[in-house]
Amino acid sequence: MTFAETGQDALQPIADIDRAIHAPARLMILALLAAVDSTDFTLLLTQTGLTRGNLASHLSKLEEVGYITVTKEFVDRVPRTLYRLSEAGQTAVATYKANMQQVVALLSASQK
Amino acid sequence: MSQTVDFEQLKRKLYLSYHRDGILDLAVGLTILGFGISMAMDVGATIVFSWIGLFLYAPLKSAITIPRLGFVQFESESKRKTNLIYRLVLGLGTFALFFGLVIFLWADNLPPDFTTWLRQYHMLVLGALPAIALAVTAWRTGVYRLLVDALLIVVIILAGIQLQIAEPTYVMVAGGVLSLIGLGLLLSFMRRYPAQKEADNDLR
Repeated sequence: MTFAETGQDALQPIADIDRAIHAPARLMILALLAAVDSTDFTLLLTQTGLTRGNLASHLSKLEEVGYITVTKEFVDRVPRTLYRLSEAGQTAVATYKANMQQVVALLSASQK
Repeated sequence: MSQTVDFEQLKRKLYLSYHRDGILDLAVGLTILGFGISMAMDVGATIVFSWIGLFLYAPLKSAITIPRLGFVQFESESKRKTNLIYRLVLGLGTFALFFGLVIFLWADNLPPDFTTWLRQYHMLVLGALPAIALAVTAWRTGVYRLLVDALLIVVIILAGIQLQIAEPTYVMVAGGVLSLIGLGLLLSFMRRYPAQKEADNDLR
């Protein structure tokens, strides 16, 4: 099967890729937040290796699209700004993963 | 389509990084060392030395690990409560085991052979308490380094008994070795994760 033979429907998984997640920096952030309950800015900084400005900008974007929530909480009497994956974010990550699996399958099929 | 994505491997790696700071090893080591010093001084009030390690764990985590690596809550509120109950049960179970043995020994209710063995190896039984707690924690959390700590405690105490070294000495050696392991891990962690600027957590 060639790439052209797959038709427009078959290419849909590629068109459906969520651009808000697809950027590597944002994908790293969401993967980290999907793995834990909540984290602060420093942990995201040390684990992703992004610069402070870059990380802050990506976090703003993710908050804007509703994929993460930002709350100020007292943990052991210390005020902390905590980042969590929202329900919309969880759904978006799951959908992204399913789409990417389809894309990989499509690209593997078109190589044959 | 499933709405859950498995990030267990990532979580596990992060969890191991978070506990590679050696603070737990250091706290347990200082507790045992403090207990050994208390035994050597033979003054009841000096038992407080053995609490130092326990009270140091949380402040060290807050002062060293969190500013460098960042703060993370691995589990949801309800799971954290379950884990707290597990830790309480583990702690109480360990102490119940110890005091149960003491009471049985005191009341002379144990078989004579076992009593003789216990009188010779009572320090091994005492050392087994932190060793069991460390081994169970290693099994529950996947931080298998703690199994080495547990084994070291048992081996050092057993060697001390066999070589007929004074009890406080080998207890202090066990505590000292664990403290050194913890300190080494802590220094390596501090090199790996330099201190972050204070404003990092509050950009918003």
